[in-house]
Amino acid sequence: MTPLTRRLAATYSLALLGAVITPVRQNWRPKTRKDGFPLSYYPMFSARRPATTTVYSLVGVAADRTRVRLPYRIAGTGGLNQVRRQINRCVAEGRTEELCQRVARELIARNQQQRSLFSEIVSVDLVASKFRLDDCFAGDGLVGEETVLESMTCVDTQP
Amino acid sequence: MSRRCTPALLTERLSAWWFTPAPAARLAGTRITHGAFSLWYLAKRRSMLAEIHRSGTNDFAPVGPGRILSKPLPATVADRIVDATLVAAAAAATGLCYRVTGPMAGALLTWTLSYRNSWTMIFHNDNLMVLHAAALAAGPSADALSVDAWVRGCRTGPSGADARYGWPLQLASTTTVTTYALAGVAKVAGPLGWKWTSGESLRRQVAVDGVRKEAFGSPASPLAYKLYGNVTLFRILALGSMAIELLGPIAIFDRRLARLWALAAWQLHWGILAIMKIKFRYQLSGAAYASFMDLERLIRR
Repeated sequence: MTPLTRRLAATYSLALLGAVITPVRQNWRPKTRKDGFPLSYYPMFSARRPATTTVYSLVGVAADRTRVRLPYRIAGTGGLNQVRRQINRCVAEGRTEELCQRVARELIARNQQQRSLFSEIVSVDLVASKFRLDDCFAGDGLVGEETVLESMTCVDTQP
Repeated sequence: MSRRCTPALLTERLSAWWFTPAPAARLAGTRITHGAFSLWYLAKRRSMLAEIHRSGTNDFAPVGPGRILSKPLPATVADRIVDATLVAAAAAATGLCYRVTGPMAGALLTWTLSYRNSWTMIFHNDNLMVLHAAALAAGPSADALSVDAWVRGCRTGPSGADARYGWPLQLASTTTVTTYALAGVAKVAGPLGWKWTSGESLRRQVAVDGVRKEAFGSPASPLAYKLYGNVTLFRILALGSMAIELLGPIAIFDRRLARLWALAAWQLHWGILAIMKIKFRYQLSGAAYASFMDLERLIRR
């Protein structure tokens, strides 16, 4: 390598490494921490986790009032955590009705294509479920306090 | 003043380490590994990406270079960019016109994955793939084991080791350990500080993740249920992962130690998969640690 190419390589390396390190500043911002891509401060797993957690999710209700947890794929695409975050955002922005309508439409479409495992479902509930982690993991399974935030019928009225 | 502690000597030593000579085939092996993984990763997600491109504007939260957009691109344009990325990644992996296709593949991969991460969720397993593309594209990564080398009639590249093949590998490896160190710093600088290593937060994180999965109809890992009560084990796991994250930048200065570190980091991701069912695919495949290995030995066999 010539001295010039060495210098260029060193400059490029320092620039890339400098860019990779820069987001570390986010750790010391009081409230407005912002993650990015591909430059991140990698905050995953660093949050304080209380003994309880609240999850916004979707429940299908059958005519006999049986309740079934709906898989995330019915609400969106891109993986469970992406869909979960999109649901959280809908709740935060007050777009719960729009979300339930979308899910109800998806269920009706799936039923029409006869590929649905949820043909008995007559309505969709968006619920906030509060779970005690010890109860769920060392006790009786997924049992929590459920609050229905929004409900939408999903019966196909088209002839 | 003794020469031992002068900044000039330190710079000299750092420079000698950074420009450690490496054979062309080692860098080429890393290029092939990275390119093959990127190609597989994107090709497998092509239809999912097309769905995301059509998922509307409400959830659009652009990150990285995507921030130049105020609204999503027309879906067909985004689809074609994914296709162009696939073509460029294939050309870079095979080392075809690498001087052009290498940087092009790096730029397109950065755009495509930034755009993919612009729908409310950042997937931290994608970062390294993009950063490694930037490291590899800057060097002569296709001087061996490439279409370019084959056309030149020198398939295995120049004999002997050279610094120009070493520094892109150092850059890729140093980037890798830096990202892990950042994850460690985020934990220590977070609300728990060093108490994070008590394991309680990790145990709860595993439980929260499991509850979320169950709430969306996907079962949590059976191992999460089995291990949840074992507080001591979570303390050991927390200490172990913190050590891996923070010690990487020290291990990088010794090649053998760095390889051991890469092995430990790889194991960490397999552990996360077993307990949380979270797939850091680039790391799990081992491709993320290719720059730490003497890949030319495999090729020679």
